[in-house]
Amino acid sequence: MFEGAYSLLSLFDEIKKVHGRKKVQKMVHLLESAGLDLPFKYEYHFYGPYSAELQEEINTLVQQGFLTESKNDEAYVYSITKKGKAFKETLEADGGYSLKINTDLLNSMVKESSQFLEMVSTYAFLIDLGYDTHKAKSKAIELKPHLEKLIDEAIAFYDQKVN
Amino acid sequence: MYLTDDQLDEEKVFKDPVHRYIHVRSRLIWDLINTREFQRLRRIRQLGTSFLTFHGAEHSRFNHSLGVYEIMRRILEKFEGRIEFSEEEKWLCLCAALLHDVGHGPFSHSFEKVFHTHHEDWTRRIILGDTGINQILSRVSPSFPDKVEKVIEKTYENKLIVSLISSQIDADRMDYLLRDTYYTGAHYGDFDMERILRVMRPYKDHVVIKYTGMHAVEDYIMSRYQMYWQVYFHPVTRSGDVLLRKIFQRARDLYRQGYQYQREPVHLIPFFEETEVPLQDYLNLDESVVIFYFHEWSQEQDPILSDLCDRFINRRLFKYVEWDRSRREELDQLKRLFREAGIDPDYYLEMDSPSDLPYDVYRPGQEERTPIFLLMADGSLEELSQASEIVDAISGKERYDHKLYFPLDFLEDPSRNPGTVQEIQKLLKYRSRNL
Repeated sequence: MFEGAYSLLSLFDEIKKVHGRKKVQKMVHLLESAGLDLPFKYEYHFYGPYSAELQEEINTLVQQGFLTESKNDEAYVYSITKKGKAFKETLEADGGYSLKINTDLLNSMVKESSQFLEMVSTYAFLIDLGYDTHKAKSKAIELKPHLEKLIDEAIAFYDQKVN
Repeated sequence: MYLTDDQLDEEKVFKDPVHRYIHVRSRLIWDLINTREFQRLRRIRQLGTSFLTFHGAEHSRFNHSLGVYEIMRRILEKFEGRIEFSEEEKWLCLCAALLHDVGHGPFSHSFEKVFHTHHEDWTRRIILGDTGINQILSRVSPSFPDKVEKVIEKTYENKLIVSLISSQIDADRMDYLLRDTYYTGAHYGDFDMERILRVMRPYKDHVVIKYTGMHAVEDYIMSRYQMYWQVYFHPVTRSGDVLLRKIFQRARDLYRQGYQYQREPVHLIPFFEETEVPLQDYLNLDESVVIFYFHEWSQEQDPILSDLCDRFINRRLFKYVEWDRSRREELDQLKRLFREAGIDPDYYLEMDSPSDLPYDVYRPGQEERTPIFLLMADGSLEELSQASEIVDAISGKERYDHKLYFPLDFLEDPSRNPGTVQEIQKLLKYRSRNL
């Protein structure tokens, strides 16, 4: 019943703050792609893999006071509140909720730009669709020509941290 | 080889209550419509359980798919002289429009939630697999099915073509808003599509709207806003969805416990087992099959499954109260009280949130989806909510509606412990004549 809420609160509790909706989208997508069981369904959109369900869940958590949302240089900044942390702990204590997050991947993603994660996430989306590595690379460049210079680094990141 | 310009001897015309006529001249489109995979869409409702709230909402994904095709056909006519699409690209647009929903299954939203399937995956398998649709598309060229699939998947190289099927203002949305408006009888979703088609312009890799058409687009955005809250998120429809989920959940749980069904649910066993489902088995599943099982299960020995099915068939829906998701401890208390009262909360107490069905709010931000741009007189672009006070007023505005669903009639049953029922009533804050 609270799987989506709990997974996001756990994520934000770990990283404390994220700049940009796009970055949140790509981080959650890559965690899913790496095998974390999360309930958010992704589709390909203009800026790469996007989950409308994830955005709705974030909005709900903000509305309930579990996350704060502020705007900084045109980007939304999210962080967990005391109320959110308390709710997460209640879910763990009384509801038996738990989540084993790949913190190495998570902390590596926090350091990267949203554009870089957009390229990694697009590549991962194509691999998950069944593209082989060669075709996924050329398709990712076709879809993101403005990010072509990031592709090799993105693939290396995917191979090292996600795959 | 199929020739895309192979025309029928005589144009076929479907009478349609939304677009008046749907015109089919091409043999390619006609043959696709006549495949068994496409005809199956006649047996899948466009709006799932909305017919329980709006009795007219019995229209199918077949109607809608033809409607999207017709809008795309008209867009291509309007774009003539403004953009040079190749012949193949025009057919890609039309085929993708027609086939964009072909992977939907019975009561998709609830079914997918319980059985962890995705209609997008089925669309891919239907277009690329051993099907009539694949055979017909392959006659255009061996790579054509793959291209159609990529347009639907939104990874096709030409983003303009993708945006005609899937963007903030596309053929899919325009048809479902108008069609759902017509069939539900709720007039909130009406807007002037003809005007929008006249002011749509191809601009680089997306579609923009000529500034003179701003008011028509305002109307379209308002329609979307109203339809989500008045129709798509209607609490009674959501009660029907809750029941469906509970039926699927109970049927699967019983199967896994080794329960002996009076009639083995052969069509659904692969989904209960969550194993690889053969494509033909999926194609054999439609709402008529699912409803047949509901009828059968309403006579089963298991009292929970038979009751849930009877509720769905005879529209004895769960009631609901507003519920704040942070009331976690009270929810646990309620579950305990339900058990005390002899009601299994796993099947008779369910919280439902709009986040289960994303609200398609118009957001002007650049972070997720491309916004709608107006093409101004001087050739510049202006984002819609910057130009329109009406759109600005509702842009990015979130609304929430968490509800807790339960069978009121069970609580009103005089054989239940009145003390326990009173405690439940207090927590639910539900006023009933009999409680």
